[in-house]
Amino acid sequence: MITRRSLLQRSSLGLGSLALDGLLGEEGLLAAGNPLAARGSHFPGRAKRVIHFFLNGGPSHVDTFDPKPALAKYAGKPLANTLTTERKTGAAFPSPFRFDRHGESGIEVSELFAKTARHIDDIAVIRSMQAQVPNHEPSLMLMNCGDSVQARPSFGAWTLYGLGTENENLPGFIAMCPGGMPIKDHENWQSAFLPGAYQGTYIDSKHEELGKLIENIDHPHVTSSDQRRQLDLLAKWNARHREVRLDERLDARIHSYELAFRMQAEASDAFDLSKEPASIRELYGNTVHGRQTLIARRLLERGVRYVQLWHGAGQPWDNHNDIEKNHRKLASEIDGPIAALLADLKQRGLFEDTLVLWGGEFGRTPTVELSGAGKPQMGRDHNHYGFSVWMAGGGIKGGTIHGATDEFGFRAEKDPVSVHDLHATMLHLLGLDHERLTYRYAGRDFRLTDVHGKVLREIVA
Amino acid sequence: MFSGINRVCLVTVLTMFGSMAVAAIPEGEAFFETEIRPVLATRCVSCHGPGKAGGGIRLDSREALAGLVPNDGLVGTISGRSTAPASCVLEPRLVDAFRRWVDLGLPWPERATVTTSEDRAAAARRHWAFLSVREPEVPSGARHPVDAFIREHLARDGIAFSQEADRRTLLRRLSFTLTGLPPDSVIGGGSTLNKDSGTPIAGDDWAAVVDQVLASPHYGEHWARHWLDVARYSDTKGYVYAREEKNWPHAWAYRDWIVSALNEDLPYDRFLVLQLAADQVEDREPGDEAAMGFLTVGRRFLGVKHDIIDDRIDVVSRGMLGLSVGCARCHDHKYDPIPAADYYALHGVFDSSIEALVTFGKGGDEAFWKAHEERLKAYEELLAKSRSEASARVRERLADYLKAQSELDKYPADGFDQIFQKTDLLPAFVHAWRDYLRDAGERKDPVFLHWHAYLDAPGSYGSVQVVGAHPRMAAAFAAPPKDFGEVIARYAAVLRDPGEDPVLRAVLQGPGSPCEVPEGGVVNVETFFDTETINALWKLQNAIHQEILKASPPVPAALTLADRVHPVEPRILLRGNPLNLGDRVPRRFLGVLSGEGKAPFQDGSGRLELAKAIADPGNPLTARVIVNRVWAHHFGAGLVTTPSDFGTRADPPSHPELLDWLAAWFVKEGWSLKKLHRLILTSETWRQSSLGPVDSAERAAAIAADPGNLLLWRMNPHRLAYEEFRDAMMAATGDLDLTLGGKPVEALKPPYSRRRALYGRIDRQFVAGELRVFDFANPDLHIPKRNETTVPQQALFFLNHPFVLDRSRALAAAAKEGGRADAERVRFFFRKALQREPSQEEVSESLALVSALALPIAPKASPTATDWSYGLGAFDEAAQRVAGFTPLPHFTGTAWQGGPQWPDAKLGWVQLTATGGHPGNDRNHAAVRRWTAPRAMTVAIRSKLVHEPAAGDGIRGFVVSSRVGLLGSAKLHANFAELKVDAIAVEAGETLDFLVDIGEGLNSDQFLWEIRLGELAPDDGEKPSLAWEAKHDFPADTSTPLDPWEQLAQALLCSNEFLFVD
Repeated sequence: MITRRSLLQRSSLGLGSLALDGLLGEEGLLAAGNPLAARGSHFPGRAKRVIHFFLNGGPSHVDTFDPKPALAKYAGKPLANTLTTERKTGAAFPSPFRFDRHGESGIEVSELFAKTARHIDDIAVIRSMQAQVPNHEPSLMLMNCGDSVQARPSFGAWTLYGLGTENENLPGFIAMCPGGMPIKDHENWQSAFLPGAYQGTYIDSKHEELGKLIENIDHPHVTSSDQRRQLDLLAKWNARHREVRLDERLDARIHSYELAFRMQAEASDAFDLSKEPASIRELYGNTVHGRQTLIARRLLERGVRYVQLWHGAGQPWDNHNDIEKNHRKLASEIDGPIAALLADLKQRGLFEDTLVLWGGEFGRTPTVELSGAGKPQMGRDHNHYGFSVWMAGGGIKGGTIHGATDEFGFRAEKDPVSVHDLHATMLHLLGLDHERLTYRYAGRDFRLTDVHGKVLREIVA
Repeated sequence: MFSGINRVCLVTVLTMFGSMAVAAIPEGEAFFETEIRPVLATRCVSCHGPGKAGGGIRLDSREALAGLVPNDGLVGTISGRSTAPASCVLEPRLVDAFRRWVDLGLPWPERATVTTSEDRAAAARRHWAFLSVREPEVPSGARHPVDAFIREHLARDGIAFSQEADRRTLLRRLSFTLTGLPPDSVIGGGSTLNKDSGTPIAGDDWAAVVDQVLASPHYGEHWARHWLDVARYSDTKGYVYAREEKNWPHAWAYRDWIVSALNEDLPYDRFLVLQLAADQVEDREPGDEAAMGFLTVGRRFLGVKHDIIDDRIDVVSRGMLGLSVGCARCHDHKYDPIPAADYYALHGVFDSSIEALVTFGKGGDEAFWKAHEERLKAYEELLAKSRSEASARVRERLADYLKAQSELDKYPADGFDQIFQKTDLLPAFVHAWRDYLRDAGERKDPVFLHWHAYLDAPGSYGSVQVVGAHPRMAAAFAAPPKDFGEVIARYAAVLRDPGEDPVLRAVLQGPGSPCEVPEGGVVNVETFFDTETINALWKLQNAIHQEILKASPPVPAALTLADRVHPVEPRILLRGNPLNLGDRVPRRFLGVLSGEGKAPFQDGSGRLELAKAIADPGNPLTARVIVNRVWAHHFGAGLVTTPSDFGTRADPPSHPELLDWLAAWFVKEGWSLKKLHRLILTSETWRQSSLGPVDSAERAAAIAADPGNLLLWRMNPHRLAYEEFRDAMMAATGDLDLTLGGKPVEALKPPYSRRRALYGRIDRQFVAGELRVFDFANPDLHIPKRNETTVPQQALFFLNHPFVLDRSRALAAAAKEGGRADAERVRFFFRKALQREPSQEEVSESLALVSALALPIAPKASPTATDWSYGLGAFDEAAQRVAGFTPLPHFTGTAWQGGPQWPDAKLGWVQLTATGGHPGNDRNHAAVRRWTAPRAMTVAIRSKLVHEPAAGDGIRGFVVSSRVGLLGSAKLHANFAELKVDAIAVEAGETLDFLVDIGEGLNSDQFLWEIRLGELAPDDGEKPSLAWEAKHDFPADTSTPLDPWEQLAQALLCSNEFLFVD
């Protein structure tokens, strides 16, 4: 297991530019009462941080990680067990994409994620995920916050509550989405009844300027040296004010100015991709998604606890029509960056304690979507009865397949996995017991997993 | 499948972090609560408890267990190393837990008891908060009753009282606690009260000052905000589908009603009744309907009825009664005596009430009201038509709806949204039929006797005997059917032709018929329509709401509830699942508060009866809860630390007698909140210094005895909330606009509104970062008490947010007026920001900072920046030229556009930024980035135009020379194009335009355009080549640097002294 110290040691060997020295616990900034202070886990965790590729809109599992040859056999024929979804669907619709076996595990992955598939022996694919309804909004809430309807804290917020952050000069939970927000907007990374400090910080990763990336980080109105002088006088006044008073909140606020001052420098550094060698920038690619993924890695290695990378505004993966063209384009945008991230994490020694999650809010029907007039749209409708996600890194047993959908990929049949199970497993990997991570609100002790959730030991290494 | 619907409350546990747990429970006790108590409760006390002490052993107290520990007794038994029955042996995991508990020294919380559920219910009924309010005798020893109770407790613990705070502190404290504003705005900076900060204020004078501040209309504003936290106020509905307007048309009128009710000191009991049932209060004042916003400003929950009702039950029960009834949605409350039956009794009350939008008061003009009537009519007509068509379709397809009853799993509940054609069976009607048939079975409806008889028939249909059936049915079933399909067919046949038979007709038509769309507007009944009809209805409904929102002068509206003609007879939904019907319950009040023989509500939905039961002087909770809320706001902590949870798991009050005395006094004094404030604020307790006793030994003793100041031996300092410090920053320069009421304003974008923060628009879907980071009350949830965190993002706000910079500049500018000398300017800052004079030391420190800071250097503009201009125009197809170029009038610092608001009312969406922009609403409002040649030269153009959104139909881009016309163009949709020109000669003053207009329609037309121009090497080789880049030449953020005085002003606004009230 990598300790923070060893991480720092590695950084001093030139792998990345960790500017963490002196900015962590030693300085007392993780003082008691600070909601973001780093805290111990329930038990030693396998992962320290999470990166979540959110393919919002719902990627088709039968076109990516869950091959269904039976669909070709029954192509164009109606299926007996068509389930109710949001819209009407028709006959079996075979995947237009080729599947190949990869790695020693020989797991089949479609051509859409051929680059990612090179890492398949480090990936555990869950092919039996289930959500509750075939609609985006509740399913996004379920995947992110563990409840389809009520305002509940998001996974990232719970993680920060449970573990705190390892670098207070950066937000501990960052959600990046280029060009705008996914539907449900901030609700996807809300803190709900948890303190506001645990809410995800949204960043429009379309931008390249720092000032647009983090609120109030830019200070064009004053030089750093003048601001330092100003803060020195403020500190003197605040100290004098504090002397006779009996209120520890005053100390916390005094301290927060010092943190903020340093955060200005640290955040600029984290988002400055020009500090990466050209080879690394090429590895990820100079595209919106390449840059977003590379920024994510820089944040993770600086101690950000949870980074969520959304594909784009709205629901790009929601391909009711022409899935061949649309899925191909979308996958081509992220397959390279995902593969680059996995390779990069490995070469930096960060892979074994970074949990990587890939998935959408649900999958898609194996049957073709029909228009109101009954015409096939060459796309697929939402499918919450069965879909795939995969995880890699921190504590995950690579080269594993867990669960299975039926012959056609409509419904999870073998070892169905609820979103609560997924959350319980992720918390477990982070060293948190999902039944003990609770928060008292409205007279109840709330959990991310409510009264559900079972750790999937089968995919834990 | 619908596991998410089963929102079962959690039984066990505590958080792992002492500091984060609500009541900082020691680790050992936490271990007991999570690991031991549940086992004792579920596995042990049924045999070894108060009811039955099996083997003479009881396991319901620490003493009893401690007696078993020695000689391996306890652990030995549960691990099977004794002769005890097998049922005493626990799993190894649990044995380990007990072993650990023994090692920890048997930690056992003082108040813990381990009982069976019946005992728990009985004990809960004896819980202090459920017992009637007593009126305890006031202890002797102090003139003021509050002081008497507080001092008695302190004396008992030997803790000294603090002396009175100084005059300046008291005035600042008073002004903020009552109005949320600094004293200058309320009492007046010139008031004699503000002088002589050293001399105390005599008691009578103090009471007069309290009255003066209570009389300020800003009192109502500040306390309204406290109530809006309780009422989960927002100006918007939260996430809605695109078909529905997202703004509430009535929210601000509700907010204004609260403000004026508080200012008028409306008795609190009436304040509550109006918020629950103004529609039924006969002597209400005009506009009182707005009060019902309490119920209706919640989230829309995508229209899912049960969630909307749940939200209303929660806000009423926690907000008014301090009880979390919401827990009983899925099962009986685990700790408090709230059975699921009580939850569904209230559910029935709200399910029997439907929303109605009412406009009142002045506002709008004649044209508005005329059009409003027409809009209402159009909507009502379409609704009526859609209703009758929908029910006609059900009647046509009766056989299908009856057949659907045998495959109910295909018809999911609300919240599983599907797209429906007119030809589809609608789950809402399938479920209406299910409920109807079930009810018919229970009441032995003669029409459906055969239905149930054959449904329940165990074997062959031959043996089925039906007596007392409706004659038409008896005739239809003269011969037994061969299968249930035939039963359905016969029912469908009879019902298809009911003739004049009133009983049969009632099945098909009229109130209660499962073929009818129930009462209510589109929001209540949309699930009974196909998707196309729903969209059409929303369009008309939105038009009504949108025009009200837009009307000028503003039209106040109320979203009220009105009782259904036929109230709903509620049923328990098992585990909260609407597909899982349980027993019927009458609509009535909570059992624990109304006694065993609680009578069902009689009148309509029962909402007014509910309101009266809550506002009843005999209700043990209502007065205690509000008195505690008021106390908590004045002292920073309540007598009960959980203001919305007075249940059995709440910590008991720190001063139970005082709480009861206050509650009784409050009711006796006519539920007057102003009297209550006056009582509290005139106490010596409230006027104590926050610094603690002057005597250092006394102070040290007090800190040692009561570090959390639960007993109030000093005042708790108050940290200004977001609204308070924003207002204070505005007020420091006299810029605060103290107008009351009205529509919400945009408070977070420049130019900053000078209205009070209360009037800033709250969009629950986009709670701004500024608000979130300062722990603003989450408008999706009832918030009893705001969190109070300190994080660096708050400091970043104070250091760098344009609002703070704006206020720092304003304060410095005000100080500069009248040619004040430097030291006088410093004094001005202190007086305005902190309401005090600076010390000599502070003056010299301030002056030292001013002289140490460098004078700001203006940001350097790119030398080629002046060659660009930013405007709108049109591409003239005939002339192939740009026509009508007009510069854009407004610059935000990052964008040129039509005005400070974007889109601009006149010029619409047209906008240009450093990297791109947005075309205007039609092709005559194209966005034009214009380059003007500074001299004659030849240039090359390289550019990449990008349109990203998949929505809409894209944009058109043109590169146009003023002399030669069109040089290049592209039509783009989710695509990009490189537009380039290798060489073009230009004369001085000629222009090259980069123009973007909309595709066929306005939708998702934002674009990015990287543009570079390079001068080709001039022939003479003498002049240097120039280069332009649109992004770098674009005006930089104009945030001008702060000058030294402005930075000093900012330092004061950043200080703890500014943010904390002693």
